[in-house]
Amino acid sequence: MIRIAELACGAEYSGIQKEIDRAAETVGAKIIYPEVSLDDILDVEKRFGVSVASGDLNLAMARATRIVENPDLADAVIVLTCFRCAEGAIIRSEIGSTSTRILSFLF
Amino acid sequence: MAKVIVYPPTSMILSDLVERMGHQALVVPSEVRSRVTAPGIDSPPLNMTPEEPKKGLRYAAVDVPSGVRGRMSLIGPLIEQADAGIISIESGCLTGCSGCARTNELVRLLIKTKGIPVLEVNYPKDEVEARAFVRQIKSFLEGLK
Repeated sequence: MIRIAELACGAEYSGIQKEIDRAAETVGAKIIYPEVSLDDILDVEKRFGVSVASGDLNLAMARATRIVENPDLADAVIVLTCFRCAEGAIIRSEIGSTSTRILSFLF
Repeated sequence: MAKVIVYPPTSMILSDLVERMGHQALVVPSEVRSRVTAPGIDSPPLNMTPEEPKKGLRYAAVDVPSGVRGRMSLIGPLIEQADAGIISIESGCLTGCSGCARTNELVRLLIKTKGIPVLEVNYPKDEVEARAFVRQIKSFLEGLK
């Protein structure tokens, strides 16, 4: 089964999480969420190089660095942030430039 | 007994202090509970459907990001019910947050502009500050009817 890592900061609150799960299901893929520790999140600025205020974006960045360090964790990555969110757009584009197996989208 | 909204709206520390002083804490988990215990869960785990960002339009403009509006559909009704508010400044993500700094800013703004008694306290960094933190909140809550 294809494993797609979801890196998002508000897919649940935007009400589109169900659509993401459904889309993955139609292609026989499974959405996964890479495990990260609290220290990974609190220290993410040092490893990622960007400081953002939003907790969920820091979580997405920590998950992104974990996948970069362990590419076997996922077959592909989908990065999602809100449309019109400046800090979300910066992080989305930075994560999106790390690999070719990444689909970047906004909602 | 007053209804007190706490910021961060998921703070167990603040909600516990409010409940101990005999008031009702308005927090997001209670709002989530009402959703996930309602008959028919359309979008697990939080049961947030595409309708929620539309409900958030009551609190934020249409050009505000959908994640902010979706979160406001949870937090906005709590602010409407509030008789008083407690805002913890620079509390960090570990105290409980909505995950979105932009939502946090809007929540703080709406609490402050509602015209209710609001206490703003700095999140404590050591034991001495923690004692002062609790004392300030206790004094504020005792003054509420």
